[in-house]
Amino acid sequence: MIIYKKEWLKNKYIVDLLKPDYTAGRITKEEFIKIKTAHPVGFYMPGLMVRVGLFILTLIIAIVATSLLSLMAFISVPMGSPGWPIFLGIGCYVLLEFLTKGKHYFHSGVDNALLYFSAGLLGGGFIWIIIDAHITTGDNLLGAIVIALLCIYLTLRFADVVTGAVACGAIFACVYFFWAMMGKFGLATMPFVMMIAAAGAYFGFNNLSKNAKGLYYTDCVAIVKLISLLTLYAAGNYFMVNRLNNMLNGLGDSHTAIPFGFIFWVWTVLLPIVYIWFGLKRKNTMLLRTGMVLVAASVATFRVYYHLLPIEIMLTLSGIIILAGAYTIISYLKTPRHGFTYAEPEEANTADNLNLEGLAIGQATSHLPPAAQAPVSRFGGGSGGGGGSSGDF
Amino acid sequence: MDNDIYKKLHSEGYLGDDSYNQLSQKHLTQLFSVHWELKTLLYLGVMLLSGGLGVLIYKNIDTIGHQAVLAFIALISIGCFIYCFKKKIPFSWGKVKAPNTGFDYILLLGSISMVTFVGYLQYQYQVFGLNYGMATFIPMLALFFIAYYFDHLGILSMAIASLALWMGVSVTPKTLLAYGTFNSKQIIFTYVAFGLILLTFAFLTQRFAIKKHFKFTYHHYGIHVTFIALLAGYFDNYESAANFVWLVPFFALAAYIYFDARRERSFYFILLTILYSYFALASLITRVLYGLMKYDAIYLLLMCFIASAIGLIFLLININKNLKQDDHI
Repeated sequence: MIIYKKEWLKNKYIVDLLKPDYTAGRITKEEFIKIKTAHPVGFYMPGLMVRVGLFILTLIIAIVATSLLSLMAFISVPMGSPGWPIFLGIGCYVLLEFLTKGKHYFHSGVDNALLYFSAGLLGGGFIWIIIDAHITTGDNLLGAIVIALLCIYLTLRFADVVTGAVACGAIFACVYFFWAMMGKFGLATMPFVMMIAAAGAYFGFNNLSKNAKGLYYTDCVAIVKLISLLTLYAAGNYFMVNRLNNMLNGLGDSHTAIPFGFIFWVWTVLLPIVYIWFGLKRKNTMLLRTGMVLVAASVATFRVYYHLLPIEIMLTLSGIIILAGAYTIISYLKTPRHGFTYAEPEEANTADNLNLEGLAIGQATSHLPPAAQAPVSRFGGGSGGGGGSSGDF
Repeated sequence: MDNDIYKKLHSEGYLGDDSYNQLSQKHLTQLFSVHWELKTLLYLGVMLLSGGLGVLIYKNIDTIGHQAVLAFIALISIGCFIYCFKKKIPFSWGKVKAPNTGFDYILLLGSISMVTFVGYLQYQYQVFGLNYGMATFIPMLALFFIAYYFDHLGILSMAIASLALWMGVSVTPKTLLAYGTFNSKQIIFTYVAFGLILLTFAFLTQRFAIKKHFKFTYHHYGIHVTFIALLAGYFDNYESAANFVWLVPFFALAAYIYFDARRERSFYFILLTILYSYFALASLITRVLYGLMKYDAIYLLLMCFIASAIGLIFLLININKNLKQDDHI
């Protein structure tokens, strides 16, 4: 299914896994060089700045080319068929397949731009068809299903984070629209259904990320987990439930009571704390950071309904509390305790050295007999691309 | 899964026994860093506290009085600077690390409150009278001094911004600014001069090795300001055919920056130069073709854009490859 060479993806995973171990000094330089040489990655993966440049230029080309074609095709007749964007999208997609296979692009900017552009054209075309069909019920559901299928296919094929995120959002939208078709009962139980869907998605993908099959899609799995966590919170957030309830029942925004409101308050207050707790317990950065952001969301939600203090006093007090808390934790963690430390993460602080090391390695490996058929110049272009990012700034 | 990989690498002989033992014990010994989380909290705390205090003072200015507020701000500023002078690592023309985590934040707080103090003084009591140049010049000098003395890139950016403010204020009297009828040509010339000053600073920084790591900041702001100002000059005089003289310094500058970036291997600046030049060239071609062929030019133009953008992509890929090859030698 996936377009990229699986062997290279595996090699990339191994090299990426061992790079922090090397910078942290858990393995020696010779071992790292040996492993890198034996696991070549032949993808074209330039540094960030190159990717940005290529992305912008490809997008310009795609836009100008489609407008040129449209201009030529519709010089006399007004354009009015959803077939046209779908046709253009397919053309764009074929080019994308061709380039990715031929040039071994791996999220290099060119392929990203073409992927999003063709996805946009195809999705837009399909939505256009659905709108033209004038279906009275279930058109939202149909649209969401089409987008979900499209993005799932593209994600499975190109392992792209953005299409992965859109696919995940579209699937949740599908669940929502499907349940909404159940009528009154559906609307009343909506938050719980969304919670179940989001929690199921999180745990399912969490298992997948431990599985060897998820190896090709590490970043996609991560983004899906993140969106699931956010959806899980939003499904039970008092403000969200309240506003949705008002909207669906035609009530004004002044209406602040909801049935079983107590449950949602508990959810709003406790879930971020649960996230942070598990984040610390499992040493999981994503849970911890999501929890921290959601605490802010919960505070904001609370302030919409209850004004305990004037805003300036609240700001000052919370500033003092946060500063004091952060300061206490920092001084507590001066010496690492319980497996936690305040020191900078090991991957980050050696970033500069890593580039130089990457170059040294690229040079060293050019004298080693290649284990697989990997041209040396390719090797420098690979994730030895420590050299690749050295170009930035 | 990761442990399986380690095991496999070990059995294939890529990892020695020592390394393998360390790696398989990693999840037990590895520390979990909460560095960025705590730093974010610190930053958030400073923001909330200063915002809250600001509103608090604003609402109670009648009972507190301006002198008290001024004294309070001055106290914060002086306190911060005393701390920084006591704790700082001795000055050097190279890069100097901050002695501890809080240092940079305290220095920043001190500088911001100093600027606020001067601004407040001017706003409330017109200490500098109508001499707005002076009111912006003094904080600017102070900021540059602090940036170099304590080696703080954030304050360098503040200093550059206040240099722009000072130059802008000095050429445009307040009355003109207030009525929105300022002379745009004068502004454009000022900002070209401003950009060139920054680029000169960048050059001197590099040439005489004065805090070399400041070069990026100067260069970054200088390039954007100069290119945008020159393009603004070009479009400001669009009616006259002679406006292409604005593009002469533009391309000269682009060439200079391009070769400088090649030497420094900075792909960021190469990319900037290429994109800005592409924009300038595209508008020039559009103009020429439109002048020659009127509306029939559109097909040719669009094809030009496509071809040139494809060419640029190959150029970028090539430059990137060359830069890397150079690195290997």
